[in-house]
Amino acid sequence: MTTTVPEILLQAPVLSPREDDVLHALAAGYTYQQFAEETGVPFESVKSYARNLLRKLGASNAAHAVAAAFCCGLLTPPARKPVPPRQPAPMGTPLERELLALALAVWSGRSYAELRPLAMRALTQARAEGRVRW
Amino acid sequence: MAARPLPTLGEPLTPREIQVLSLVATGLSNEEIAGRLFVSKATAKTHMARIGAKLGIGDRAAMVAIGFRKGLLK
Repeated sequence: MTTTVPEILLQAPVLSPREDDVLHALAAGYTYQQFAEETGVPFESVKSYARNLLRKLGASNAAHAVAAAFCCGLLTPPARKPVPPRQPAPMGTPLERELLALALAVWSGRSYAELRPLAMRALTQARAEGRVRW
Repeated sequence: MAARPLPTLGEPLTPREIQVLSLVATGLSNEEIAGRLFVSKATAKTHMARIGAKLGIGDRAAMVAIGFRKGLLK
């Protein structure tokens, strides 16, 4: 369900540091009184910052101001956990790797032991280029 | 009629509760929400109490913030 905030703020208003503090306090559930006590800012000043904040956001009350702030990007939802990059699939089955090394050995006349690491590299390369599906 | 017990913290909001929360986000009072949804003011207040219990906060502005942070409101 989409919220319809009537005041669509195309551009976020510029808030003073105090107004920004009040905004974050409201989003965290503080009342003006609690914020004043917590910060030592006089209650009358807090009310004044809040009044300006609401006016800048075109909001009629604190809940509305918080919603408007999310809509114009002054408050942001936490970033989603980044999706870890997909692990490359292992290169072929163990048997396929051994078979490739064996085929190379037969084909080139060199030793199997010598060609095993070569087979691994060849497979890695082939996978990177999309020449093998496994 | 016996009142249902309040839901527990973390329970998902019902579609109706999300609708109520989205109206709170537009700055409406309980009375205005009641009028908008054609329910009594008491019902609107009940919705708010249940939303508060599920989100773990009684403050309307904070409820809206949690709604946005949880992706219930956009």
